[in-house]
Amino acid sequence: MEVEMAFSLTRREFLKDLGLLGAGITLAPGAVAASAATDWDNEKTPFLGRPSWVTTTSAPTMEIDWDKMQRFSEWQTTRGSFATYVGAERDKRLTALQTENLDKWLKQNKPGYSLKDRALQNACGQGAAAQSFVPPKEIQGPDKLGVAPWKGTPEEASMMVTAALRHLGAGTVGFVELDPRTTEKLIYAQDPDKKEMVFSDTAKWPEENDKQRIIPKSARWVIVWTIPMSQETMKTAPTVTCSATTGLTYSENRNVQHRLQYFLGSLGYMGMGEYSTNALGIAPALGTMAGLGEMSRLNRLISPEWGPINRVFKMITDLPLAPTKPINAGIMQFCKVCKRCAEYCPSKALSYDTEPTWNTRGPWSNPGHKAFFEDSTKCRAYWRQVGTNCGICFTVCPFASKNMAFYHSFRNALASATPVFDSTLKIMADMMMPSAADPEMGNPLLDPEAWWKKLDLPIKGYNSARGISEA
Amino acid sequence: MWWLIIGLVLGVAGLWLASWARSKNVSIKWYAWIPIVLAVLLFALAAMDYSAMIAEQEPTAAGFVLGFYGIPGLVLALIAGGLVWWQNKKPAVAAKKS
Repeated sequence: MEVEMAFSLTRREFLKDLGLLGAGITLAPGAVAASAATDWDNEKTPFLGRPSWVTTTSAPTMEIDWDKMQRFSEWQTTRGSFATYVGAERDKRLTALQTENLDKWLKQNKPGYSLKDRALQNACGQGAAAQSFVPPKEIQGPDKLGVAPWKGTPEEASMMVTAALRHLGAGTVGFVELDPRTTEKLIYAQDPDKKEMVFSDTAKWPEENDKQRIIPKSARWVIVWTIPMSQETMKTAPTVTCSATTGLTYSENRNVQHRLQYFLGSLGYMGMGEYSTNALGIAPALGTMAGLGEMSRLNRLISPEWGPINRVFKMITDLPLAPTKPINAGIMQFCKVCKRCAEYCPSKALSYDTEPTWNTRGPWSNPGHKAFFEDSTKCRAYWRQVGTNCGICFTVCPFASKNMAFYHSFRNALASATPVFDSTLKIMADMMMPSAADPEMGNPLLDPEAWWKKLDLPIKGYNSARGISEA
Repeated sequence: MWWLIIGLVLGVAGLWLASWARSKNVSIKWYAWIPIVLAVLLFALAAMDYSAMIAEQEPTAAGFVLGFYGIPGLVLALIAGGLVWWQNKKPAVAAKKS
């Protein structure tokens, strides 16, 4: 005899439905896990998993004319030559304005410029190791331990360095092999202090004197890595609170670089680092060649993992490494349609052109590649006015999202697969991020005072698992 | 945990729907299940992305996706409801005529 159950179900029907319910509960998280697992493809990038919508290519999505490209000198950027480009008088006026504004806003307790913001900015610049081009002399090589230098295939070396760098604090890691006809041109001709960067056939060890930094020709590989930044502090651009983002990342990298020099030295190899921030080589270009991201309308690197919210660093070594390939994730193509960064740039420094061009907008950029060149003097002048650095262009970029939502993975995959929907995706970004900074005033996306109340942010403000387990 | 709760809610809701239909002699044709399944998927997506975007500290985007997935989900749910009502209403009308 069948027993009647609730809702007029027989026992057999009830048990059947219970089984279906169990299967549903089991399959729901399984489906999610399966989607996360299939979202990565380690075959394309053997040294670090990347999202499945990232494809490797033989050449970057930015066109390069290697014959026209020459080695560039870092001091020619507006970091080193702003006064030359805008005139000494304007430079002096802007410096005075910067000092005056910072002092005034500190006393007014202006959000983003108050004493606590200044204190955070100050703190972020501390506790970092000394930077040096030449590896520290104190490093004890394997000879001190009575063993030979580490030996392995270039692939093994790349995997080993990636593992070490991830442990030391890097986000993504790539490798570029130096070729005098191509990639060697991405190493600066002169560093920020105007010291000449010389490749030497005879030098056995990196050297530095008053005029030169000497790179032995045996060092043919560049290790390139990103360090992610806090999206939330970045959103407070352009304020002192925002500058604590970049300040912390540069400090972090000084430690990463120092430790990487020790790691390579302990293996029996040399690591030539940045003697100061932005030295050694063109970071976005090397990052692009290493496949860490693509060049963009920002004329900076946008990575699939963190969008523009990361910084790129590099080191030259004689440890033979297997190079990684450039990538195509549809980023440069999307930038042709999007233009959000240019629209929201308060100084109107970024390009509005639909297509990248070979023509630079000033001597602060290196010719020989097709890019969305910016008017760097406008950008720098604005930095002086607001008293600190900016970064609004980074925060309004649709790729600056944290990619926890399905929509972001879907958008990234769609942008990578076809440019047909790029304009629709841009409209979506406009609707989803309508509170973006006032293009005229340069107001921050996030009130710095609100940031001080966000007590549940990840350590250092970014998800360090991204690039490994999340899309 | 979030997915376990959603799975439980969907399972219980599905069980209730099946039991209710059976107890009331309501037949649900195969083509009515299509908008039902799509609506459930869209509601699940809305819940998933809403919570994800709140976790991303993007409340405006969270509100947007709630409408972006939720409104079409609601429309599909109404279509499914209408279809079920229409399917089960017709025999009654036919019976009245005879």
